[in-house]
Amino acid sequence: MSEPFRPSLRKDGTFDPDCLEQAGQRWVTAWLKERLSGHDPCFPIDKRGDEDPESLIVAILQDAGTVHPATNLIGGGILDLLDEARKRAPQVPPYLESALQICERVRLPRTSTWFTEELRRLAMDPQAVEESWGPDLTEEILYGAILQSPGFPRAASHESWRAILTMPRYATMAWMGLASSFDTSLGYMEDWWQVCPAPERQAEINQFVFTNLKTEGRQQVRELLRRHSRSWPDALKAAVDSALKKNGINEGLRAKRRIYESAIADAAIAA
Amino acid sequence: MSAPCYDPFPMSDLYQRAVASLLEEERESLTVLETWLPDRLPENLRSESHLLGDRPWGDPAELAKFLRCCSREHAKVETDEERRTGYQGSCTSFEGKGLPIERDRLPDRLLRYSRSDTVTRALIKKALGRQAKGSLNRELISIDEALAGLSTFSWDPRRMGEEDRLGRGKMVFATFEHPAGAPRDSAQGMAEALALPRGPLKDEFLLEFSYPTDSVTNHRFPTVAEAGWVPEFQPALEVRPDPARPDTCWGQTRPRGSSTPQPELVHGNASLRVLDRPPRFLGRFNS
Repeated sequence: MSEPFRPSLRKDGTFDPDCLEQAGQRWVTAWLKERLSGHDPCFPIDKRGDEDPESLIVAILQDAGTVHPATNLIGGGILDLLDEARKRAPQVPPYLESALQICERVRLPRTSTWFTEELRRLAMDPQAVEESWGPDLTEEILYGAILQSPGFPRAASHESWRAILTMPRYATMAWMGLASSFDTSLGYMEDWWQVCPAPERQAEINQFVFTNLKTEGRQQVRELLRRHSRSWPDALKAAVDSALKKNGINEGLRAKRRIYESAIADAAIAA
Repeated sequence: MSAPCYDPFPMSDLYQRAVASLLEEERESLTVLETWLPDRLPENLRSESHLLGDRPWGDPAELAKFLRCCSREHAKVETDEERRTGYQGSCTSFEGKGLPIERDRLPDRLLRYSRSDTVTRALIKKALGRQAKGSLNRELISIDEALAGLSTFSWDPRRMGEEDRLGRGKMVFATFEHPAGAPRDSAQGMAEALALPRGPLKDEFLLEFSYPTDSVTNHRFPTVAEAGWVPEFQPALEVRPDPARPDTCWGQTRPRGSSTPQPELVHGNASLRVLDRPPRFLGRFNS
């Protein structure tokens, strides 16, 4: 990093994303590589309070927004680092985990193809991918792919995500990767339930219900659950009921179904 | 615990003896390095008195090794960036070389204040599942909402893996409860009391980790080597640890504003399994 460029701050002390346009791609990539490896001459990283090297980059990207030139430059820099890491695998360069953390949290369109390629590799040959990255890093790559290469029905990554949904270790990640909304999540829920290791299921459903009650609202969650759950196995319904109860909703799917069935039976007797 | 009185920038006796043991060319190079170091870093370097390794009190050999390493790294490169990298590399090599702190001088529990999003997300994933981390990543829920799902009743540190660590480096900083107290319910107050560096980030959160002192090893005085490029650090005053004066038995922060100094030590990094209770969310602060 021999260029004389120095990033500038705004009057309020925050990083000014505009300044990166003057820096150019080469400087940005070199800065990212150094910073994400734990060294930053421009903005020292605080070890005492556990500052994450990536937190400044996430803040810059969130501030700049997707279409800002700084996002394009940072995205290009991250892509260069991911490509380099792939060449060096199974050796793990010091910047890789921080680079992936950024990709997990902020949309970087330039990295999309890299994640799509990794999804395809994992779908076709999971053993080779795990030998390259190890299972923990593979999981972090999948978290990145959820944001950078989501499995919309017409997306290039869709079939790969479908294949990954059949892999017990990664089934929950694939469920998140395929689901663009609560409604679509429910469409994959039974497939996920059949594959996810049993000890992990309830915690995942608890969190799924908690998050969607918050984002979708009670009425929508209950309505969509009722619509999708008709063919679900009883154990899955019981798990959803338990999650609803944990979140303060006592009338679960099975209770509704029992009321509905008994009403049908009553009507039949009356007839 | 009364706060010790510090001279503005006292040069330690240990530093002077360490410098005296260097070769003349190493001393010259060190002078160049100190002239180049910004902010309080040169003053901190000159007042360091606890970088002893496992040598007895007052032995300058380890500090001399550190200074030699810093000055050589500085002399062999040309750009400012390379010099900074060289200094930080020297610091990393000498982490965990502070004077050991005797266990019986520490309380039974340690506290650690972390602003690491990554550590928090790893912890949430292990405690609440993969969906929880996914929801956080997509900003469907906030960190405090996720942490609210962790109750003391259901907290099980065995879910944490060996790879889930308290911090990033070989050594991590910690503090503890003490009679002078601390604003433990205020993220802003704790950031100031601990003298966390101001940076270009706004609205960071602070988390409190609490764990038994015996669950971690290698308790030591923090030194300029652990602080690295962070000038807010304050080396411990050059006083031999004396149980009759508890404030001499560990480091002290140099708080911002009128906050009370906090005890400070480092210990070996460890798995998050040492957390025998869930982390506590203090809130957010502006650095």
